[in-house]
Parts: sequence; structure tokens; C-alpha cells
Amino acid sequence: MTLMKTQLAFPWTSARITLAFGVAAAAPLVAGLIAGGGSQLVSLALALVLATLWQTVFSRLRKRPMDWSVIVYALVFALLVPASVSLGQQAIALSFGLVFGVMVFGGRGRGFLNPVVVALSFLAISGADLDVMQAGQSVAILAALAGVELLWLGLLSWRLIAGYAVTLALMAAIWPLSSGLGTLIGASSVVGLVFLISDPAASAGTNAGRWAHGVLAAALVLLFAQNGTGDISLSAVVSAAFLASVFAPMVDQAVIWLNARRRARRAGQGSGARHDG
Amino acid sequence: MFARNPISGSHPQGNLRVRQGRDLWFGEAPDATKIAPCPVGSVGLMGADYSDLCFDPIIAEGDAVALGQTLCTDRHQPSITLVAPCAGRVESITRGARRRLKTLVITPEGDDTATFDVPSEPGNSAALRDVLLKSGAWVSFRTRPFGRVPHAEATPDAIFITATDTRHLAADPRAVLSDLSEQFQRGVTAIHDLTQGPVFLCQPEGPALVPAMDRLRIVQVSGPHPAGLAGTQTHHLFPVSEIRTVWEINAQDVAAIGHLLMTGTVMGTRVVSVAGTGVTQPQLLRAPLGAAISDLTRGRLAAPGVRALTGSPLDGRDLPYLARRDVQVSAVLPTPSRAGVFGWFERVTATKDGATLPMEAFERSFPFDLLPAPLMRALASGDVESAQRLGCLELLEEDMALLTEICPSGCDYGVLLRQTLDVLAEDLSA
Repeated sequence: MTLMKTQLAFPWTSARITLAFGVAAAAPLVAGLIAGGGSQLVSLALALVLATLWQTVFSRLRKRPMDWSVIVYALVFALLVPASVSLGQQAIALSFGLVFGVMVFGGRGRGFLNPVVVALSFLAISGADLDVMQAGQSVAILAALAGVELLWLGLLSWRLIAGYAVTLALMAAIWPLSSGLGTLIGASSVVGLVFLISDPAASAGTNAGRWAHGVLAAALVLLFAQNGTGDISLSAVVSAAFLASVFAPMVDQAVIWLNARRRARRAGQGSGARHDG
Repeated sequence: MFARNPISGSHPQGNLRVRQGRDLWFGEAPDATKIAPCPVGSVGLMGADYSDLCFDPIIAEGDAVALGQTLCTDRHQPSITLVAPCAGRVESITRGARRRLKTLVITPEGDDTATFDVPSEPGNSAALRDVLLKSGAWVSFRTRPFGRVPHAEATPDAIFITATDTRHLAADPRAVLSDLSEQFQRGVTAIHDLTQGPVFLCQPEGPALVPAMDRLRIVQVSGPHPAGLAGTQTHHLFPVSEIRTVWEINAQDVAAIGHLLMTGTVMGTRVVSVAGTGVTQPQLLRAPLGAAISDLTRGRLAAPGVRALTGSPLDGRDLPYLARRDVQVSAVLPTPSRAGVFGWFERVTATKDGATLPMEAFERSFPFDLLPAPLMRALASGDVESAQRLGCLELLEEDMALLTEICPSGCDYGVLLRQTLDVLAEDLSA
């Protein structure tokens, strides 16, 4: 059936979603490149090559069409990876993230992890210092604008972001961070929220679950920040995003269970005679 | 989430205001005040409209048939019949798998009409059931769950009469019923006798279409599509389950039952909306059931290559004849593929069978207390048990049409739901 899918103002196709996320990720990346004097260009090239390589390998192995959505993850990785990490380490970490974070599940939307989070966690576990990333305010501002774009397009969940923001603000008010309130809107915090924690492929998929996911991620971010350097560092955001993603399917299952129970109670109100259709 | 006025026994009137949903634009709606008769050159009955039944023709090619004459009977329940929607000659009979009816084509001619003995006084449900079966009106009922023609002896827990139609480009049922109000009332009264449970009449806002009756609940429905579909209405008013079945029937079929009981003859025509961007002049036509799509759209298509579908623009199907439960034909112009860098990018990066990406837009266009993203995943992965737990028994193909349209994966969730429901129907009847 070739029913034309054109009558929606902007119907989503996988290509358009990739484009929207790509544009969103490119904006802070360009700001980061300008601020860093172009030192991340090699990382970017490496990340793009690796993403294409792994996607091609898995497409061939699985005899599936190419899926370009992982390109977005390459952009985000190039934005976040500290320049002090050697290229070899970057290559191994990103390959691990792509293969075990998304490819083994069958592509974006079929797994439950964000490959950038997996790659950065891999780097953190292997002893690299993630917190040397010195992204400027321009990156934070452009990442926030990208977040607004994605929210406006409906690709990010406002529930998740609202849950995150409210929880973070409340907890920071009760339990102040040593580095002050400015860290709440620093580059790690904003980029992490928009591209890691809010990733729709790696967060809860129900409305109630989205609230819970935002609240949980914010609580974890603050917990890790308090136990670390006292500010919202990249490592705190990455660890929080990782744990929140791992718990997201469980949160969704809880929502499903509550929904099924509520419907069963409603349905039980009527007569119970069985009829064959 | 929903402004819901619980419909309880003591309140015959109620409101159902649906907030979630989406009205899309596929062209101008037809003028509701004019209904033009549309003579057609051929009429086809398609076995695929009744996938769970196995019809055997009892007439032969070349036979002359009268309006209302029995053409086919079901192999397993011979009392369920298909009748001729017009007088004419049987042009061809094609059979499909296991020799069941695939298509039966009639060329209309003459005006022979079969008459039926109708029960004179209301309340005689056995006689009513008998005449509905004999006159072919039985197949206008559809069960929920599963969306099948009800068993000849079954009794539903409730009946839903759908006098609302929010499908894009569909005719306004109020306009269609305006000159059938007497027949419609008679039909509602008759249907009322088929169940001991409540009968829901879902209608647009405004004065009640029929006077109050015991067990009849008149519900005024408002909101964007799919507020007017029976699935949305049953979900909020009388949710179905493994142990609770409702029958649904659309308003025009109810009026046809009323006509049958008043005159003893079958009303073989329906008002069909022919509309869409591919149609020069959207119009309401009075045409026989199963009219050939090419006859309904002759001289009305805006461009030669436009395909007219039976059903709504969202979930219409490309079939040669109007399907039994469809009262609209939609023809939408194809959009030219984009030129330039963006078009190139779209073609290069297009994925045919991608995974879905859960978006809040799913919840915003799905007016059910069900969880769309988990349900879509369960359907796409063929996880029948999870789909059942997530409430798929309350749904039929048409209820998934908006999600299919919005989801970026390109999956047809209506088809996936049908497969799941067929498995569940077999499991639950075992």
C-alpha cells in the first residue's frame, strides 16, 4: 500500500529524525570546535569513520539496509570526549559503545543504552579523566538551543526534562553543591541532559516513566556530583545517564503493571458471561 | 486526562469528550447537504471482508438475482448469509483458498426485490434474529474483541451504535441520517432486543437522534479523530475483555435494519463520501453496497494516476469494490519527491524497517488508557502475550491507523494487530 504519508505537517521518518538530531548535535559541536581551536577535528573524523564502519559491518552481517542514525552518536561523542584521551583509546571506547550499546541489539531504538554513554563509561572505567573537558559557555548555550529545537519538534520528552529540572533544582536547594549554582547550567549538565539522558532510544517509553526517568537521573547526577568534585561533571552525568538507562525498562514495566491492574479493575465492573464472537 | 461523565444506569444521557487525537487535512470535506444518486456498472461482494467466515455461493454465474436474494451462505453456520445489494445478473464468481468466495460480481439490471416476513410486533427477539440472518443484515454487526461477524446464536454484553464518524473526509452521520430518521429509530428499537445489556448510541453533540428508551444510553461524543471510532467509545464507556464482548454497528446499517423491518425489503444502498485532494469535487453519493470504486470515482478524479481507496485516507485499502463496512472512498494526490540536498539526504538515509522511537506524540494521538510505545513494540516483535497484557483486545485495525501514520518506523500496526488478534482468538477459543 503506497498511502502517501504527506498530509501531516512534518511526518517523521527515520531520515528526518536523524537529520533533526544531527543538526541539533552539530550546533554545540561547532561551538566546541571554535572554542577548542579545532583540536577535536581529528576526534570527529575518527568518530564518523568508526560509526560508518560499524554500521556497514552490521548491515552486511545482518543483511539489513544501512541505518544512519548512529552518525548522531558520533557527533555527540566528538563533542564530549576529552582531548587528553589518546586517539587509540577513543577508538576502542567508541567501538565498544557502538557495538555493545546499540549494534548488538539491532540498531537505534531496539536497545536500551546510549552508545556514547557506554563509550564514555568505558573510558571512565579504564581510568581516563573525563572531567578535563573544558567546554565553554557557548557550547552550553547552543546545546540548550538544540534541546529547545528537539523539544519543539517533539523528539524529546518535556516530561523527562521537567522532571529532571525540577528535581535538580529542588535537590540543589536542599543540598547545595560546593561549586555553586552555576554548575547546574554548565556545559556538562546541559549537553548531558539533551543528548545523553533525554535520548528517546535510551529512556523510558511511557509518560509516567518519563517523569520517573527525569527524576531518577537528576537525583543520580546530584548524588554523583556531591560524592565527586562538588560540581556537575561529565563523569557524574555519564554515570547517572547510564544507571537511569539501565533502570528505564524496569520503570516502564512498573508503569505497564499499574496500567494493566487499573484496566483489569475497570473491566471487572461489568457482567462476566463469555460469548464466542 | 479525559473529561468523562460516567455513564451509569440512572443517567441515560452522557458526554464523552476526547482530547487526544489528531485531525489531519486530506482535502475538502464533501458538502453535507447534497446526496447525489450514483448508478454503478458493477457491484462486488468480497469474501475478504469476512475473513473469519467461509462463504459458499448458492447461485451460479449468469443467474438473475433480486435485491435481497441470498447469494452465499457460510459453510459452518449456514444461517449467516450474504444477499444481493441490488437486482441484476451474476457476472462472475471467483473462489479463493479452500474454495471459499473471493469475489462475486453482479451487473445491476431490473428492479426485482425479495421480500421478507418481518415480525409485526417488537420484542420477539428470535424472529428478529431470524430475519436479520436471512436478509444478510447480520454481517453488519462486528464483535469486539477480534472484529468478527458474531456467531448466529451469540448474545453480546452490550451493543454500540456508532452515529459518529471522525475519519478524515467522512460524511457527517447527522446529515446522512436526516432523511432516514424514522428508519434509524426503528432500527435502534429492534437492535435493543438483541441484548440484555446496555445499548450505547454514540452521536455528535446536539439533540438526541432517538427518544429515550430503557437500557439505551445516548452519549454525545466530541473531540478529534479517533473520537468517532467505536474502539475509542467502547474503551471509555464499556471496555471489552476476554470475558466481555460488545457488538458494534454503524448508523447507516441500523437505518437499513429499520428499513427492512418497516418494508420487508432490503435497503441495498449507502451514502458514500467520495473525497480527497485527488478528487475534483468531493461529494456524497448514494450507491449500492460493494459498488465498484472505478464507477464511484468516474469523472471525478483530478489526475489520471490517482488511486482511489476504499475507506479513509489513513487506513484505506486499494480494492476494486467498496468494502462492506466502508462508507467512504478517498483519493489523495501523491506528493512529488523532494528535490535538492534535502531530497537526496532523505533518499540516502531512508530506512524501510527501522525501529520505532518512542515519542510523546504517540500518547497525544492515542485516546486510550493504554501505553502506545510498549504496545507498538509488542506488536512489532510478535509478542502476543505482552500485547494482550497491554490491552490489544480492546483494539481493531482502524484504531492503530493514526499511530501507523505517526510512527517513523514504517510498520503497519493495523496489520500487526490483526495477526496478533488472530492468534489470540485461536488461543482463547481453545
